[in-house]
Amino acid sequence: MQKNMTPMQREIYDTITSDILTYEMKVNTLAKHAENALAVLEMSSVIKTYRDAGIICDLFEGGAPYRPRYIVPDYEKFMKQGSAFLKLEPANSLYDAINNLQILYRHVPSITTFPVYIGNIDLLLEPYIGLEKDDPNYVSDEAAYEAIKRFLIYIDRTITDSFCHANIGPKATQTGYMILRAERELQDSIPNITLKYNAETAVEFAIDAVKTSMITAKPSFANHDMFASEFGENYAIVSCYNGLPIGGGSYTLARLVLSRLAEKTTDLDVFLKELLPDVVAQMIQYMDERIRFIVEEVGFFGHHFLSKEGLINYENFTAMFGMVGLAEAVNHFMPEGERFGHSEKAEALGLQIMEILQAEVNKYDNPHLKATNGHYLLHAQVGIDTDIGISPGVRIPIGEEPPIYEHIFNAQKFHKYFPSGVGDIFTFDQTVAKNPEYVLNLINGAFKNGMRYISFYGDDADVIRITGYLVKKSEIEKLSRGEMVLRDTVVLGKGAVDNARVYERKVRDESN
Amino acid sequence: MIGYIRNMIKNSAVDGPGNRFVVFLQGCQFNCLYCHNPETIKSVKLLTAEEASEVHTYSPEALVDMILPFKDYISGVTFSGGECTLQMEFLIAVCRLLKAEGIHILIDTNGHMSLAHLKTLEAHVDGFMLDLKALDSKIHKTLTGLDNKRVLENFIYLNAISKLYEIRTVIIPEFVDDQALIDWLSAHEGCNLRYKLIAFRNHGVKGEGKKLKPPSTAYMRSIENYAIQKGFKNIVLI
Repeated sequence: MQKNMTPMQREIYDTITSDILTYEMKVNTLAKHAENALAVLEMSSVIKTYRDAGIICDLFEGGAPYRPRYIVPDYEKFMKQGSAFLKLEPANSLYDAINNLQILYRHVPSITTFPVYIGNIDLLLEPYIGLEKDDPNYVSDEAAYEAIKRFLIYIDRTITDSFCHANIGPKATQTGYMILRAERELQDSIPNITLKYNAETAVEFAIDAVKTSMITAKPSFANHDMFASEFGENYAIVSCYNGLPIGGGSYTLARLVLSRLAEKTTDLDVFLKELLPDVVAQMIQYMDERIRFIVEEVGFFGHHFLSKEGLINYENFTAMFGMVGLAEAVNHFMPEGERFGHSEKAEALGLQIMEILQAEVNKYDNPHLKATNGHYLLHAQVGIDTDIGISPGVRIPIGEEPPIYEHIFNAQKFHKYFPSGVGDIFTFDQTVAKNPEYVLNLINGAFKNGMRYISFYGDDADVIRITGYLVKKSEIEKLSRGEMVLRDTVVLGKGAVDNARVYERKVRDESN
Repeated sequence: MIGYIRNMIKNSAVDGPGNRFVVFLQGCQFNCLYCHNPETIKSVKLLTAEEASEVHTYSPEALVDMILPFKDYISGVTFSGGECTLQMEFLIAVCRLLKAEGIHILIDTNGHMSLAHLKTLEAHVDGFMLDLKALDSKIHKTLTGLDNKRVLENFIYLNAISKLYEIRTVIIPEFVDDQALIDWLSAHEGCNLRYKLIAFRNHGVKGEGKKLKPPSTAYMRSIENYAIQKGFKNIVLI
């Protein structure tokens, strides 16, 4: 072994010689090391101080971003036009359609190196199913089902990162039913799936989705009317639960750790009027610099085929201002016995903080954020594996969850601030699992009254939702035994289980 | 007008389809050996001061005001007890108000009300969940204190007007005449109903009921199979 290695060389050496990282994970980690060898981003000393204190966190985006963090290709356009760069003609048959998508997925960049959005896959494939028997591209329903099931297996085994997200709905389709059936059978963690849900979604389809989610923690339900009122119909749910424009995406996502900022003072006025405005100004400056680098210095849109072929468009991009730890920040300023999720006063302070945060973020303009009139979108970030005592976004801490109505009523008040993503997670016992309409009733009420996004799973499911992404408990056990696992998100999941008490999430029974 | 309410559950997954707001009214004519809510049996008039302090009084309007904040989140309201139909006047007044709000209503009943009462109530609600505790009148009397003549008559009436959401029987081997009851239900066009077969559990049961024997899982399966043979299509084992 080489002596006197620099810290970076040491990290690279450890990556290369690891017996727990897969080959693919090593390649991706080495790329990150290479990127971090550069120091090309202008950063003020104030920003550095905030970063060192863990108050501003760049979520491992790297020192020289060379692609937008989240890319949301227009797959419908791709299905119609194929790709000149990939030498793909528009598909005529189900098999060609699936093949084309599988090829494109290999070439969609993102922060994870895997696509964080793979399309409204039911609508993409529906035109190729249910053809007349004399059509040369006819496939039987059973053959179509088998093809879709294999497509999903391919995704799970090759896009080995559970921030990969498929959308279905809002209308029920034959393909949508097949996807749900296949997911119930496969019980894989990838892809993450969201059902865009509104009054147009057939009740039968929604019930099928609830049943599926009890078994395998997906799909989540997105409030389609709420998202559509902000983005128009042309939006997608990507990565954990992020609402973004189709044909666009988000350049970056940094996060503000509110709880750590709060710890700097005991004076609420100082927090609200001095610290919050200052940290927002600094964080936006930091993100502005990242965006400048991607757009102006890397010139991403000038050379990437997705951009050249119109599958993404500079005009549809925005960026996300993330936050975590609202509950802990509120509790820091409240007297004992007035805890977030259990106290009107605490809730009122939470709302006050959000109003200020929203107003401060909206003060700034970045000309590259074309999709959102120059503004950053607020995002309730789900946390990272090393967070201890910091609740995701605006969530009530695990271990302190109130009865389900109080929990939902609380969430309803906070979800409006986050077009680019927020959500809550519920675990239900088997009595509830037998009554999927019960869950749907709660979703209907919650969505009517302002909740944006909801996820849930049964208490005996192997696939569970960690904070926004999915992991199999059996895979976490494997990793805990020191065995190699295929999917990189299992590592994050294990960290969250160890640090954020994910297994202790309240199990909701027939009446709580 | 005042109603006597023992308890309310704002969200229940086990008292009808979907999510139900459940209101438990005080008082019951039956005194079942296996009653799991014995505190709800006593008539309001007979309660001691201490017991009465646990029973809440509501006007129909006040009760509906408790329910309305949850209207968006429920599939409807279920009235249970005790025996909710004992407070018929109050119950109908509440149902009228709920129906004006478009809320679905189910009545969880022991079926002992008179047919005339049932016909009055029926017009105000969407359906009934009826307990059929035994077929043999003597067994029924031993179990509940009263015979089942009205229960069986009311079953036939409610089934004829398609207002039975669910029927239920608590299974106690060597005590409840389960097979005979299933035969009777089958002969009276009950096979298309949702039939909940509940295994007797002595946990929480007091007095004589403690001596009753809970069924094994195998016994429950055998009764389920018997019901399937007799034509039942929608059986729920609990």
